[in-house]
Amino acid sequence: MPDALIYDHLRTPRGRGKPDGALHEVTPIRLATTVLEAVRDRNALDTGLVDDVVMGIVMPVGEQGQCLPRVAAIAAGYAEETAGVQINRFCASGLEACNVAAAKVMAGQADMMVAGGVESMSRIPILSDGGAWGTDPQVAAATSFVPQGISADLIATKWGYSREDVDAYAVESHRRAARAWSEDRFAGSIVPVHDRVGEVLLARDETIRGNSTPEDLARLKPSFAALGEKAGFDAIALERYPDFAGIRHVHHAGNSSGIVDGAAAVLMGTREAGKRAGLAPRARIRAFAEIGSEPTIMLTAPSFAAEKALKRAGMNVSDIDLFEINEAFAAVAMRFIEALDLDPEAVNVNGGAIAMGHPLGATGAMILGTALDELERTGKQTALVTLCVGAGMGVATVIERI
Amino acid sequence: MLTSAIDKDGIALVTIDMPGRSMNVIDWAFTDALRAEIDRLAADPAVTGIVLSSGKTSFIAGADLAIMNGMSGPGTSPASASERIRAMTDAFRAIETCGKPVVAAASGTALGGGLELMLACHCRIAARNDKARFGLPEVTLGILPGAGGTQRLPRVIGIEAALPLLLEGRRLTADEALALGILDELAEPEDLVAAAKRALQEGRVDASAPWDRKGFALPGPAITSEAASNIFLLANAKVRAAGQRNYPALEAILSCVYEGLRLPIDKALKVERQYFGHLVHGDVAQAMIRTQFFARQRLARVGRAGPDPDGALASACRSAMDAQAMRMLTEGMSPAFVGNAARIVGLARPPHLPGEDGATHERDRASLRPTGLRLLRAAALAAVAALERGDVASAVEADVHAIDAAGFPVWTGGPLSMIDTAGAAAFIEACRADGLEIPVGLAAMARDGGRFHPNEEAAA
Ligand SMILES: CC(C)(COP(=O)(O)OP(=O)(O)OC[C@H]1O[C@@H](n2cnc3c(N)ncnc32)[C@H](O)[C@@H]1OP(=O)(O)O)[C@@H](O)C(=O)NCCC(=O)NCCS
Repeated sequence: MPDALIYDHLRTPRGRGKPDGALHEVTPIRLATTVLEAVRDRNALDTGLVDDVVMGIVMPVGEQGQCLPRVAAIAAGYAEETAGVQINRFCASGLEACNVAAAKVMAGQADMMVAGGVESMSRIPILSDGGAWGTDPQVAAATSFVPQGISADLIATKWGYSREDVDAYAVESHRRAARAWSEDRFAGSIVPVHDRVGEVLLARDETIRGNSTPEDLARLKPSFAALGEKAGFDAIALERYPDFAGIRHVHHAGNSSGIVDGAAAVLMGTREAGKRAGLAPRARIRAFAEIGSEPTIMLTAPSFAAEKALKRAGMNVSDIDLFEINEAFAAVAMRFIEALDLDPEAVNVNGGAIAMGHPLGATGAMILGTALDELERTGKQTALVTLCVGAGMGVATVIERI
Repeated sequence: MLTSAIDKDGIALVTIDMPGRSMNVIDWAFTDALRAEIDRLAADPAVTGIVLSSGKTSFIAGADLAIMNGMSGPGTSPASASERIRAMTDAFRAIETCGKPVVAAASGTALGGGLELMLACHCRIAARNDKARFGLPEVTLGILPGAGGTQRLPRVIGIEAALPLLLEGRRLTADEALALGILDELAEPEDLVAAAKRALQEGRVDASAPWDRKGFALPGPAITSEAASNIFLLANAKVRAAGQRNYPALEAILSCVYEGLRLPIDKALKVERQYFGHLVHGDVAQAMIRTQFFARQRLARVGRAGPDPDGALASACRSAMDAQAMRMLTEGMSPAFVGNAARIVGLARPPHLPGEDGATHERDRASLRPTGLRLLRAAALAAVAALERGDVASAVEADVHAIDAAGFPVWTGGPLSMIDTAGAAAFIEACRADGLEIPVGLAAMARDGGRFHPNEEAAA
């Protein structure tokens, strides 16, 4: 079986996903072409070698619809032969894109791939794509649908994370992200986004608050209390978790992943294809896994996915030097750390989505890159990257430097 | 039952007047007669328009609930029930598509099938009548308006306004119905028929429904819009939290609107009657119709005293549940678990429990509903004993009073209906598994295959 090797990766900075965000004026396809052009240009890549562009997009509608990766590839001037495909596994789409690309390479059915993702949440808001899950009455009932924020609060309830605990986690995420920027740890992988006349629109992640304090966060109101208590979602959650008298609503704007815009690209291929392109491999995909879990608590699968991927790789938790877990909500990351009994100092060492945001389709590819850069910076070998996923899923990927 | 008079302008005035009844109700004979009359008038070239009116001070009280019994029991299925209701759906659809403008002129109340009939007319006028009520209360009996109500009401007033009416069964005054757009016009009672004829003479009534015309747009948000998605997201949660899936009609009504509004009307009506077939054939609807309609009607007729929360029956039910809840705690269940179990089966008042004991061990959530049902069975046994002691006069009274005074869940039809639904033998078996003591009378009833409510009683 050929190895799937990572040759390069890069990402845009993440812009606040609101009309006043720096990337709001940039179309999602231009976010995608920005990273496609950058990964080609800095590797002097003959795009004729690239079989496919696989990108995660979670709201593939409107200007973000229509098999954007193929259209972006030709708009970016890639060879006609380079195909494109959009995939959606909710929040893990960006990592899933990498796994799908790796799988094609490992199966001998592709030589060179670009994986990644894009999401302009300021332009195509979450829930723009409709869907049956929470809205079709039969489906919502059969699946005991609750929104993610309720699930996150349910995790905090079940494992006893207090408001102070989750807020402390969030403060640390901001602190680490700010430190990473001040030490230029992301510099090698950031592609600034420019406006039409070449002025830089955004060169750094926009939502980091390095001086955020627990006192600041304590002032924020829980975001999901009304949905839980007034709209009735708590009652649905308690039906599945009946040993609790109520749900502890601890998540808010400051300890949940930020809504942001951004894109990422990862260049992958076989050893031979890399040679042909004159590139040196940076890491190898050791194994990956996806898994389903109880859909009402929904966001607890990262540890299960991690265990499954590790088993496939023939590795133990202790074989992993570095972990990246998407900070969809503080409790998700805290539960992951607790479930695998990890050292918090080895997890999200450069902050996460609470500080920098979670551009749904792109995040998985972004944090895969963050993990690789950090391995290189610290001279470590192995990393595990994972995300929780809507409807109760998890995806995990294990990489190893070469 | 139906009389028609055609005036010099060719307007046929059809008067609905069921002999020997204080109010008109829709049964199969009426349905067939209406269908035949509409077909006849549609085919008569002299007829230019039709007014549907009532010979009574109300329009139509609703469907004759006796017809619902024929749609469940031996030899029936959801499919056969759905096929049966089709006669009514088709008759109303025939009005809508007869090719001539049809005006409903309601002297008073139009509920359930009565309002559904009005919604199938091209124009709806009601008399100013303080006593008149308009609504679709089917949900309160565990069913849904199966003759077009879930389809036409949202098409007339929009999803957002229609859903609460369908899900709560609220009855509106004529003024409220006018303000919502369910009625097009109000007239003085003595001028009602003339007003209806004027609407026809002045050409104000189209001979087709808006949804049968090209370019029809739903009032308010389109069914495919994000706004509509949000409405359903919240409505789904609301009915789930309120009913805990004990009331299948709530989900079915939401689905009728969610699925049906995406379809042309004829396909939509098929979706509706299939959901209806499932509901009317089910235990919950049969129990709710028996208790919420027939039992209450009978008690009102014989003038029985209302329920007493401090009365013997209510007290016995409540202490039986409290005792059972305490036993559950000694078995190691947490107060939260028992409280959630009570909530899940729809107990209006949870049993009395000591405060949170901080139990952290997790129980299998699959045992939640069985735990709630165990509370209900304990209360039902107390109701049986109360009936045996003569604390209540009849099984009918026991059911109604347990619901009203002890918070016994409506979906069961009351404690004795619940036993009938399970069958006394199966019920006793479940009680034994719970470790509950069986009264002698009930054991004897189980041996004889007896019931608290004779099968035909519901139709009485
Ligand atoms: C939690 C959530 C609903 C909050 O959204 P929001 O209310 O629009 O958030 P905002 O960014 O406007 O922040 C709200 C307030 O919190 C403040 N705030 C946010 N982070 C803060 C921090 N670290 N310190 C201090 N204040 C902070 C903001 O300044 C803002 O204050 P303002 O109202 O005075 O301007 C949203 O971020 C969310 O849904 N996140 C999860 C996304 C998601 O579900 N992704 C997929 C999940 S798996």
